[in-house]
Amino acid sequence: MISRTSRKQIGILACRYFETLLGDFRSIFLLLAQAPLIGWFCTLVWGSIERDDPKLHFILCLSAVWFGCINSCREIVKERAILERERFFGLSLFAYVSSKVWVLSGIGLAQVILLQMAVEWELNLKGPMFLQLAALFAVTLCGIGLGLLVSALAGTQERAVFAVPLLIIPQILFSEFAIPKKYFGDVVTVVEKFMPVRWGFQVFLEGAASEPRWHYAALDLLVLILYAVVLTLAATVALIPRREV
Amino acid sequence: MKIWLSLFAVLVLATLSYLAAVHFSGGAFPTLGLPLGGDRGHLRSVALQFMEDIEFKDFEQAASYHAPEIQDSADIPFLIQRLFKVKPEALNFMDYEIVFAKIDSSGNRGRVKMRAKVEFLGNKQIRDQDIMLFFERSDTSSPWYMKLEDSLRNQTAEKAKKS
Repeated sequence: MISRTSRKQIGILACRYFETLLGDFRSIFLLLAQAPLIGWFCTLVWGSIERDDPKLHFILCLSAVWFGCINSCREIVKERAILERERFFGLSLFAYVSSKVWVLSGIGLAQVILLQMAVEWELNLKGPMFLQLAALFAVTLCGIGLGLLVSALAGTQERAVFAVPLLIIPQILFSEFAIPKKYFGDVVTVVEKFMPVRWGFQVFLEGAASEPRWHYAALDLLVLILYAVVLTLAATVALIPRREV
Repeated sequence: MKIWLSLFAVLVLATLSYLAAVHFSGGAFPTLGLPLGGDRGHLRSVALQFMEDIEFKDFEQAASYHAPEIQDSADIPFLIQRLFKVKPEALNFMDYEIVFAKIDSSGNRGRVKMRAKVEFLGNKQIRDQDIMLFFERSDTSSPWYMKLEDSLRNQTAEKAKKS
């Protein structure tokens, strides 16, 4: 399905990208440190009532999409000049974007594990831990897809960062967190379905239910993974028009 | 070779970090059968054993977590009935987990909050029930004893404090 050249390119590009990230160790440390810090903030708030509730689950999903977006939103635009030059020498756009996804998903996985551990340190979340972890990771993958798409479309790094709130705020607005579902208008009902946080939150709800419907949880996870794949492909397509940098 | 060595080092570091997290969190994460978590870890494991005894209706064993002087008088089925308003035979403990375990500043009083999924066999209803278990010990070298009998027994107001 993926050609041998592309696979080889993915490996080389992923190694190069990872080494570049390791060169800026402080940034990596700050990226990873924000996850347990947010988790600790959550335990401070929900520790007051000594139990978790759906709002905490929503905040965790929102944090996961935030991690994905903020980690990836500058990663293409900042090296667009290098990308355009290397395209003349046969660089595959798919391999390039895939290499970003590989490395960023590793960082995202570490972040969601740290986030969940920080919360569970004080307060056990209702529902299976590994299902919740899978949901958070899938939401992070969607966040990475969104961030890479923004990065592929943005002209400068600043514009890419400014676009992140436009991706995050709607996740809250078009959700049950803002208003109860029964009051959703037609537009809100449709837009809500495009929000990764919504699908991650559904997995949490199913896992925490008295009688969980596991097939629904699996379906929600599948939607998230498909969504992440579509966003990654969209980011690749967005890179096709050549740009003078 | 260098990659494999790095990978091995990362794996060892991750495992050690996890075990340290398990211990310092008081057994908040799966302990993989290791005696980690200190006193809080011990209270968690006692609470889980107690719930397992209740699940399998081994009330004699469930009473054994109380102080020796009240073990014989601890009527666990009666206390269960008081808590759930139905006889133990009409209850099915489907699942239970620990929400948190805390120990006070003296180190001699502990409490464990549990969440149980209970099926009421009479009407086939499934309900999540929060349960708080209290523990006490006389000093830090003494064993922990459960105070379920104390907290659920029929309370009578003290005459001197009647309003």
